[in-house]
Amino acid sequence: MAQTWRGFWRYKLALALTLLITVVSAIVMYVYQDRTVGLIGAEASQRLADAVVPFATVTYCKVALIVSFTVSASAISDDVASGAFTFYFVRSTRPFDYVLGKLAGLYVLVLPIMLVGPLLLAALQLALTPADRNVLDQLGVIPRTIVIGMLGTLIYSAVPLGFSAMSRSRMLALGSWAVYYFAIGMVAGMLALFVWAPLGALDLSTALSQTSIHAAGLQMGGPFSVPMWASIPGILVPAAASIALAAYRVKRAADTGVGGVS
Amino acid sequence: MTEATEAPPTAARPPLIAVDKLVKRYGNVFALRGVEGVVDGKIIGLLGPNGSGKSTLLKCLLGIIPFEGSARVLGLSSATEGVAIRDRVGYMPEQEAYLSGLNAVEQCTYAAELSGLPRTEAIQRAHAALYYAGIEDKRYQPIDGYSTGMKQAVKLAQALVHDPEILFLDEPTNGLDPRAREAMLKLIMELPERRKCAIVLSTHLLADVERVCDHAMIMHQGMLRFVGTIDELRGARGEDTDVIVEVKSDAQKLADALSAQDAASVVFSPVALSVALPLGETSALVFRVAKAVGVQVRGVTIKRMTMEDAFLKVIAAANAAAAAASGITPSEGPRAF
Repeated sequence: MAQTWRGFWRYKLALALTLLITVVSAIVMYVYQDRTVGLIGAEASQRLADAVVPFATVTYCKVALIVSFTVSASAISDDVASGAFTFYFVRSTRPFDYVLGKLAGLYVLVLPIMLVGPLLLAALQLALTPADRNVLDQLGVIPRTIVIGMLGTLIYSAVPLGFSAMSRSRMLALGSWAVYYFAIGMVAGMLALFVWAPLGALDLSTALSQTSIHAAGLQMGGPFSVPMWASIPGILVPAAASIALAAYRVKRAADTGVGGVS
Repeated sequence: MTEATEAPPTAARPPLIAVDKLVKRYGNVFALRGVEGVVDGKIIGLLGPNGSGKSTLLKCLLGIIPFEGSARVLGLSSATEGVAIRDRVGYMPEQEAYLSGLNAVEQCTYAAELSGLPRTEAIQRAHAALYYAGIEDKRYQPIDGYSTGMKQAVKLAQALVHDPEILFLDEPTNGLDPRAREAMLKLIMELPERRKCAIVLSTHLLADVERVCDHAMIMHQGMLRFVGTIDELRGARGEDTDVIVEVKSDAQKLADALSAQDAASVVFSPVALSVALPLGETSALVFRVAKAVGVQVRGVTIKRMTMEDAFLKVIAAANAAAAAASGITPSEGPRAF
């Protein structure tokens, strides 16, 4: 984490973008909540304001994606290349500790992007709730946002971590993560459109955004509406598989490649 | 099983290293083929040609890689107590082992924290270890910009930072210029006294072992071929069959007299000769014969093999044994070293 904090492009840029998205989304929410009532009616303007958090989540995903390319997707391959792998395993660090530590570190890095920003927006949504609406009903937005934020953080920390363990080469790790994210995402979108909507959950950002939209009670319908029974596994299965893959690869590498040969 | 100890291990103090039928294979390739031995000492040289299994043995001992058979370090099982062993053992790997972008203090502090020390103590120990390794004034500079010698010194500091009981050094003088090599060897020699730790020095540089080690282990083709003191390795096993005799004069006269007693002698100056004592005889024969022929002896030195000769002899014996076992004529000698 200390290394990540050094330099602007690796992580600070993402935090700046997160702040920018939060400010812009807050302004949009305020406008929907307060200024459009006269134009489209109270109920419609309220629905628009309620949709800001779920839709902002899609934008936060883009920032988390940037961090996955600058930090997460090469976390392990960088360690192998620099000799840090050896540094860890000649001490009392076990492969499981290492993977868990990396995952926790990346989780903490992605958390401000996927959780803190949305949580601020959710708090603003609560603050702007008109007096005639039931505040207790509106309180649900907080735990909802926390759960979605944590799931989003899991996606953008665990899955790139899995790819970073697939190769000793940084470029190969980044390339395979990019192919998976963009190509699978595109294919999933086509399949959802032409074959079966739940297949859209194969795209990580779609799975997250659809979960967020459903959790907010905003039903879209149509071919892009991935049901929650598909979207939640669409998040959890790749994350679990990636952690398992990383653990397996690190254990294997630690068993054979630590310390060099003389 | 070969055994060599200065003070025999007791129940209270187990031997530094004890291995029994240790086998490590990668697929069908055997890296270690039944290593056996008990090792103790202050500075133990682990010698062997490239590919002989030295680094693999160290990794097995540390419990980093799985293996068959038994290995114990400080009485702990490498197979099941690897984490506990690595808490008590420092390992300086051959290859680079740094976190890019960190300076030496951060690196050593992190290493100490990974070994279980609280942060404040880890920082103190990091400074002390770096001071000891001679990196005091440049310790806040990023390691990426260090010279090879400084990087080796940081690796040594990292291995020392948690105050280990044994230090495994894998080729610590590799890539160092003569001055840096000298400094590193000096550090290694002082470690047992100043830090109260034993050292296993893995190297293929015989001169380094001769200079700093009191014990040696020789690996060849995945097996431990010799364990013992350096004196034992160089032929001083209580037999002392070859001696150099210095006399006041008449070296040839003494040589003739000794030859008549079956002690083959070669004169190489009027005052010095080399004598190969017959089986069962000691240097007392030289004095007896000298007195009989009236030659004044001024000194008798046991002639020992050079480290290189001793090493080659062990390897040749291993090759011969292997050839005899397989019925193949042994090759001319060991692989290039």
